[in-house]
Amino acid sequence: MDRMIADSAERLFSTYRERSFAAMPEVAGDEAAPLPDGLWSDIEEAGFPLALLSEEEGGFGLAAENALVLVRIAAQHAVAAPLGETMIANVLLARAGLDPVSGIASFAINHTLRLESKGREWHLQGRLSAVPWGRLAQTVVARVETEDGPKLVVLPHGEPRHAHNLAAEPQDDLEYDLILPATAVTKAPPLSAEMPLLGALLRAQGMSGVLSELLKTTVEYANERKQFGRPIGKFQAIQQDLAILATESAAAGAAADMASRGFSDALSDHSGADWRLAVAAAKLRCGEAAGKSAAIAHQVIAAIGFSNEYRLHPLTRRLWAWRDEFGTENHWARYLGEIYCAQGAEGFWPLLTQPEIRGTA
Amino acid sequence: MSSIAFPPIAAEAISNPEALRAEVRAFLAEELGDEYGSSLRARSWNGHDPAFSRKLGQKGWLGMALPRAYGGHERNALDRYVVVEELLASGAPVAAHWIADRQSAPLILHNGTEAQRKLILPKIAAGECYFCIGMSEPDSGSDLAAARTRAERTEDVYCINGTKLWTTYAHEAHYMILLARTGQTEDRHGGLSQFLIDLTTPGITISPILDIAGEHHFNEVSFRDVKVPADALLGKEGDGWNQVMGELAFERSGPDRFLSSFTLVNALIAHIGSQPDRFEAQTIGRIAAHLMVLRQMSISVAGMLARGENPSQQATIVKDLGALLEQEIPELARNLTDTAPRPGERDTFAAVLAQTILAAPSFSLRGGTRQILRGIIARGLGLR
Repeated sequence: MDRMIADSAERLFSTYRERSFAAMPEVAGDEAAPLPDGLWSDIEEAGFPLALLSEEEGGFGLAAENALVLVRIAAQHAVAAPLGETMIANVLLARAGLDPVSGIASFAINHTLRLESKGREWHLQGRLSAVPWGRLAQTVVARVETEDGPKLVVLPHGEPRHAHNLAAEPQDDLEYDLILPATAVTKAPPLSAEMPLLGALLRAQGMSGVLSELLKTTVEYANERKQFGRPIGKFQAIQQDLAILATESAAAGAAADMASRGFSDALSDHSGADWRLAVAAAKLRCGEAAGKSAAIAHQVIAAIGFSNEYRLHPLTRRLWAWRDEFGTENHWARYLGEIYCAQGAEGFWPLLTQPEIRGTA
Repeated sequence: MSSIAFPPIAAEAISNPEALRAEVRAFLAEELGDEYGSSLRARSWNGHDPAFSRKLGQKGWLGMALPRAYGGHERNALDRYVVVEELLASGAPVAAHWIADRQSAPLILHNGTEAQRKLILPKIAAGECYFCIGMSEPDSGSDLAAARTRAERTEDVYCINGTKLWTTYAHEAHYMILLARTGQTEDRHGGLSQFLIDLTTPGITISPILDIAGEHHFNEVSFRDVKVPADALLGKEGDGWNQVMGELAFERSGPDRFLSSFTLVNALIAHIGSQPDRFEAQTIGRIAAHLMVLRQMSISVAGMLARGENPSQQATIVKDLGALLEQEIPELARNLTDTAPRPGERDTFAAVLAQTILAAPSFSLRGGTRQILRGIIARGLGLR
């Protein structure tokens, strides 16, 4: 089952690999890249947007760590797709006792929303900032504080102010002033308080997928490109750099695994351990790996790798974008540091060894 | 070549780690106590105390994964991992048994004769038999295949001549596992063999080499017409290179490769206190994140070793990343404090900082230099 899903994702995203590259605008500042035709309907047909849901919730009961592999595979092929955001939005809806949505969905962590009760309905007014894929989202999930406690609001398509990240992926502000029906506002589930971490989890998976492809691309180039009469990969200076790239890529993969297993445990109540630490550490570690690795890849592939036509920038631009989205390395380092320092020197190691080592079946 | 995988450990590799961890922590608190100060703990796995090693043997925490027939405890690989990482995190004096338990015992179990296993393994498990590593030589450091120490076979003895260098705790060890040349072959990896050498054999001279801190861990071990019986051969004659590569996977991947500066991290957190400023929190958080990820990677390698795989690429990666972090920690500590290192003090932050700065250069030398490790990784990538 897990293998089958991963294989079908591999087939699907490799089909869109070149089209997604071709869709990137030539000038990075110009516009976001459009989704290739047919991509989203193929993703929906495969059921991927529901991959984090249990069978009762309408999904197919994959462990979260296996479901999140889909996000990695899409990233590996540098296929721009709002899959991870939709998967997370659907989990948040499910946790609030709501049905998953069809179509593209996203979630917002920064906003100025105000929610006022109007009889059985709600008046909602305010702006969401930098919503991934905001302009394409038919549904956006956000958490809003009210006098009656935190609420999860399910927003329809909003009026977008277009912006995009370094990888030409939409990051739009969405403006709202509307009346929401009672069904669109529910008590916020606890998981919704951790939306920044859920975003960090997605970006860690994405970066680890990109890094594994970046390694492959760079090693292949070093084996093919000849200078001074031999492949440049035969030079020790290049080999030492590529070893660092391989090491960083491996560390990012291990970090992303740690995060997705931690999250998987949290969703299924396997362990009482704090999954948030694992996700924060993984986002930090993948972000560090992203910066170091992108620099090495560009140095090795040199001038051709700096050109618009070469298929390196879809990878490195994603790394540079994603390491800053949902919290930079410093952001998560501070988050972890405050928690760890509060434990004092005596508590540092005991916290570091949580969760207890567990095996996978 | 996509990313080198660190698969999660299998469920059967682990039993009840919570209980074991609690037991080890209680033992360490009792045995070491508060009077075992940070200057002693900062020696990390260089602290040498045979009495402590014997106590670990009595607890059943050495030779944990060895078969019972050889005095072992047939525990899961991850049970051993829990014990080892707890010992390191506490800075317990583990040097006496460290090499024997980490790499000599698995090497003897896999390659030794029945007689060698029966002779040695129970004593290792009891914490009474210590080993040193006979790989490096004066003209063969990183280039291990250039080893010149020779073992000439005549009838039922081997006669050994040559010199081993940088041999940690040879002066306290009972045995060395020696890599020596037994034949002439075109292939420079051929013609090497490993021997189990009793260090009391006549003709062996062990001379101290002090390190930059003036401490005596290293030695030069010279062999002059040293005659050992033919059954001192460990494994197959001519198979030494492959055996050493297997041994190095055990040597390179454990938590000793990223916890060497751990006492300084603890001292730094104590120095900062529970209300860190922005930069302090960032630094401690970053160290924690790196340790969390390294630990996951190292546990994964332990699982692969337990399954009988040879995760040499993964072990090499753990060692390289681990040494980078261990060496960065004193630099990060300096950036956060205005304390100058003071080697003459005892149990102060400045003293631990001084010790760690002076130990740090060795972290990326022992077990293979950083450049060699990266060459191994590049080979795995298909570049060489």
